[in-house]
Amino acid sequence: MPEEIDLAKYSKLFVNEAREYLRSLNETMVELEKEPDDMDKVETMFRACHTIKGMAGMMGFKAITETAHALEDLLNAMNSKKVKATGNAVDVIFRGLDALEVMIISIERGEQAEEVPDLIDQLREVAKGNLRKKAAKKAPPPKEKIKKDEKEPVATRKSILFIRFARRCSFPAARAFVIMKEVSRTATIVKSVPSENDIDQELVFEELTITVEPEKGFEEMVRRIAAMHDIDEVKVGSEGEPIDKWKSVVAAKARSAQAIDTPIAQTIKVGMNKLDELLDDVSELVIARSRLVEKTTAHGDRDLADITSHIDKLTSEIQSKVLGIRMIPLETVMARFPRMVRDIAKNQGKEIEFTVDGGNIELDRTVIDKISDPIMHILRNCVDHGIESLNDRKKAKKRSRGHIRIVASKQQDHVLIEISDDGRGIDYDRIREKAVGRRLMTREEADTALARDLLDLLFQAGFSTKEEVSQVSGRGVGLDIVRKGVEDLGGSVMISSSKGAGTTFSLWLPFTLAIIDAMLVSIADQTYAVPMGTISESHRFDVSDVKKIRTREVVQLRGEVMPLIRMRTFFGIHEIEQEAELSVLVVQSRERRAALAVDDLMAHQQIVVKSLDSHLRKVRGISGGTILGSGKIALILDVDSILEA
Amino acid sequence: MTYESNSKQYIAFKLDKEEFAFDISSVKEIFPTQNITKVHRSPSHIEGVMNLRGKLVTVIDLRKRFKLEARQPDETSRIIVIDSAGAPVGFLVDEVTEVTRLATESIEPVPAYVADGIESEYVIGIAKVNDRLITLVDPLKVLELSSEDS
Repeated sequence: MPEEIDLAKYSKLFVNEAREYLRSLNETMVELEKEPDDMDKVETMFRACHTIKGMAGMMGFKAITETAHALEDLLNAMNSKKVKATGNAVDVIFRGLDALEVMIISIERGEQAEEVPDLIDQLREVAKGNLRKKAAKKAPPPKEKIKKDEKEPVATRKSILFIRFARRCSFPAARAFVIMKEVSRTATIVKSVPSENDIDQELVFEELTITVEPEKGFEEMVRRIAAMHDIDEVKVGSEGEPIDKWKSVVAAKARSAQAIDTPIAQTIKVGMNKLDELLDDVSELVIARSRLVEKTTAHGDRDLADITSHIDKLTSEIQSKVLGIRMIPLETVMARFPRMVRDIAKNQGKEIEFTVDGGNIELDRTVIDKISDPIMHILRNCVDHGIESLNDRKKAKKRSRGHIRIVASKQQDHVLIEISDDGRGIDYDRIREKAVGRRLMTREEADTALARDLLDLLFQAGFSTKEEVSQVSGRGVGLDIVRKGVEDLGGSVMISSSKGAGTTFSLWLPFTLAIIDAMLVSIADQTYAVPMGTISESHRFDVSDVKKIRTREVVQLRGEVMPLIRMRTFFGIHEIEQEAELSVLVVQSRERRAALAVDDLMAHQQIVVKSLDSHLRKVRGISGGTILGSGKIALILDVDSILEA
Repeated sequence: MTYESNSKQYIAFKLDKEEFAFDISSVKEIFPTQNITKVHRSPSHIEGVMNLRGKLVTVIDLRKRFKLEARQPDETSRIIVIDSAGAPVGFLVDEVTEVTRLATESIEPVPAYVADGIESEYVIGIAKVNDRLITLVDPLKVLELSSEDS
């Protein structure tokens, strides 16, 4: 009997798959709540629950099996129109899904999942059409269990069970193990090919043949196996019978057969650290390539030039592929937002419609990881502060259901994510009051302050305008964290708002952090890199072109007057003796433009962005560094913070 | 070599005329001073960043950190690299004197008269070895306090 095999090995597989199903269950449930009559959604959820139940059953996770079973019953009641997917029924399903999540976490930690008898009773009650909670009834024992002492041989001849795995089955040994365990419940295993030992060794195979002495319930079990995930074909025959006489087995229920179709991405999982290492190597390769190209050009050898151009092309391809591998769609982080918005809204008695556009836009994994929390903070703000209560909306003659929208779009070298609500908008007078109250501004300053400056205050730590501190958005923490998170990624955030009509948060983010185009410049014998995305042009100014407006130096380019920022002065280094000409980069960040004076413009190059540690992250003017072909470090200028100075 | 179970190995180094030591288990590696890239507008005790096998590592000038008289690094100067929470950090010191094993008994608690600029929070104790006095410092604590001021 294969019971000896360590189950823990397969828990991980279970946890991953179950999570995948749970995620889609949550998504579908949020949609179902909006359209309670959509029986297709009920059907989809039923299948997912059924699959979770099956997987958990085979692994012996009783708590999960029972919870999934109860959910399945309730969904079944919905399908047969006995129960409607509204109100209490929806809540209890969400609670069921949450309970499953908790159980899966326990399993992941190697702990026993805790059973939830109360919740299961509630699910059953609701399934019966009793919306009010009644006294808990004892749950009937699961009927699938077959007691060992009841076994009575159905056939004296040995049966042969033949199973072929689907090509896409990523882990046949695990499946085989699970099947062997299932088979052993209703039959005595005589032998198997591959052997239990080989299965345990995780050898790769596509077929499994098991010779058994069947017991009661064998046929039903075989049908259950046929319904499993990743199995192409199941045949049963008697020992000695030619293989073409064996009968194909049809899956247990049409329904569970369809469960197979819920796709689980056909992928290999690779640790992020491995991709990071690969990217580091590619980065070195990119640098080495630049040197090779340079040397080859100087050399003038035709054969060498051919090889170099080949390597040049391959390097570019490898680079873009490696960067591509790291890109994942935005919707991977968006998936949990609908549920979150729904929960908070419900909690506050608000009605909110939540839509996402552009979720298919892909960003580097690092960006995706770090953007989730800022977006979450903003969404909470929208639900909590933005959208008005039902009453207020009525008074304002708005439709009762508020609308929160996330729209992501590609903008040249950035991604723009706009999160907007149609709520009350930001009350500038309230900000003014608060700014004066906190002595951040004098009354006069506050009264004349521009909207932009007032909105800027919202990003300061501890500045919150809602009178009562609510559980959801807390005490003014949030927006300052949002700004920090976004800026750490090299992005920026802006708010626009009009009173009564709503608020929009705009996040500009880079697609990838890894490799960027940059201009290398020198300032006081050190090399710096300026991201090409921020440069609009380079120019040489005659010293006499520099004019002064009050204390600030300005230059004029094709009629446009812009501030001149001398980088030496910015960094607190002595100015060099006045030269006749100034090397200038015209840079822009958001709507601001300026001319940066540097000692020299050196080269245009691709650089690999490396982050500085926490001691240097707050330094103004610098956003990171890169390592040049020579091994020297070039710091990356942070144009945004330079322009703010 | 005498082996005492109640002892630990330390890396001793000099700053000005004083001797200090770090627990060897927190030290990753030691380098002669190499190209350190200056970071303008950074806190004054930060010497700059160096390239440690493709990673950017912040180098902290311990003389400045401990508010001792500043000095240009020379050929005896060393950078002691500490592994702090996954991100290595370098400490610039005048000279690494030795690797020494100190018995727990020889370490005395921090006296109240610890010099100015050296906050007692990161001093673990004072070791007396013959006529030398070695101040044992917790490098991670130094870092923790450094990032708070910056």
